[in-house]
Amino acid sequence: MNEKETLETRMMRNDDDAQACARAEDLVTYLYGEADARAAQSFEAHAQGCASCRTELAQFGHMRASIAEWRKEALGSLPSTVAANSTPVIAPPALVYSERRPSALAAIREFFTLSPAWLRAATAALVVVFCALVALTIARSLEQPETITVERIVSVKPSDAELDELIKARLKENSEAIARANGDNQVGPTVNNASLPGDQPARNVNRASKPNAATQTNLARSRAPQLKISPQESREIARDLRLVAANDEEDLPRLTDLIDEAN
Amino acid sequence: METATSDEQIVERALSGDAEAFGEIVHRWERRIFALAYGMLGREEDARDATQETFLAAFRNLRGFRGEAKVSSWLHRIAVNQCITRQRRAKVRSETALEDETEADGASFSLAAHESPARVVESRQTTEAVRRAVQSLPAELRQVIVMKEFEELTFQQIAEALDLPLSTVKSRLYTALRQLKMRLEKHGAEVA
Repeated sequence: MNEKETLETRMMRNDDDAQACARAEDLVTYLYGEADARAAQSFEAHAQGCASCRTELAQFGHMRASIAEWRKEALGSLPSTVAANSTPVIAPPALVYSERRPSALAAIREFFTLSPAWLRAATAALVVVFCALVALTIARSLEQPETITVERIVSVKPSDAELDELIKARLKENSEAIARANGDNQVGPTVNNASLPGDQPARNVNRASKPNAATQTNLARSRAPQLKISPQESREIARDLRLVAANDEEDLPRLTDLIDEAN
Repeated sequence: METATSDEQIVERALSGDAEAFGEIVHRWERRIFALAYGMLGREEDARDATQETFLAAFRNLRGFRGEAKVSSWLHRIAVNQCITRQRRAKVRSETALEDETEADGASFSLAAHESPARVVESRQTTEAVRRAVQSLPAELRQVIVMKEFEELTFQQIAEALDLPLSTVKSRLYTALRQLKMRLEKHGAEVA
């Protein structure tokens, strides 16, 4: 590799000028003042008779002065030797690293490494208790099945069959509650769909209070499975019983329609 | 450059966990490395970046330092590599800029020859011409001339830093000076 380097530079030198002196290395050694007294004397003797070396010595010296001027302009604040009390050009990497914040995981790891055993055990116990409390809270918040079911049904808009089932169940509950309150012989006036004529609106169900309600109720119980209710009636009954959300606003006349009619 | 504690001892301290030890190395060498980077790259901003990258690279590879070479040589090698890498990355931009600068050089030399009677102005233009001529040298020639002129290292120190024989360093420096002279003459600058 060394031979290659030398050949490389010789080739470059030959390309530039075939007249280069063989004592080129002595020339630069002398030029930069690194030749010892004996070598310096030898080169000076050589330069007396070598025009090429004399010329180059002068030219190189002139260029060096220009480079020194450039250095002075560019790095004027920088002394040629290391200054002990000078301002740093850059921040030391070690300081940069020390200022870096550790990750949460690293901090936890460090904590467990440096802490005594009792502190580690206490921390672990606290963490377990905290986790148990959180799990308990979550489990309790999930224990509300009925509310969720009703909300789901109402929001989902049940089918006609589901509505029938819900109406029957709710009417049955109402009837039983009234029966319990009034005794066996005074069953509440609320009746199920069986007591209603086919073309009667369902919202009258709760108002169908009559003296012979007990008989009708019993009759209704026996007939309940065979009765037919139209889907429209089912929805109205469901609204009255608050099994589905009432869309009252949909039934309201639009203001634009009223204006049109007035015009 | 004589210090109470050698660079190698400080590196050993850094390796053994002394957080401030490497900072000491940085403090000792940053100006020389900056000078080297400035000479190689020619721009202060680039030189600062290269200097920082040099010390970061050294810090990252601190455990790879086995003490076979001197710390100074190790740092110089890293710095030279950083500078060369930076120049390679910006090769296209540099080539374009160099062409522009070369054209500009011709113009500025012409101006110097015909329109700059003031010695100060002439001197500045010559200095600028030298700077551009140095920047246009091949990296292997530029680094030796920068290490010699900017860092004021001895031939032996350069040889150690670049892991080259002493004769090769001298030969390269001679070639660098000759090419520098030719580039300056080409653009009409007064060399001698």
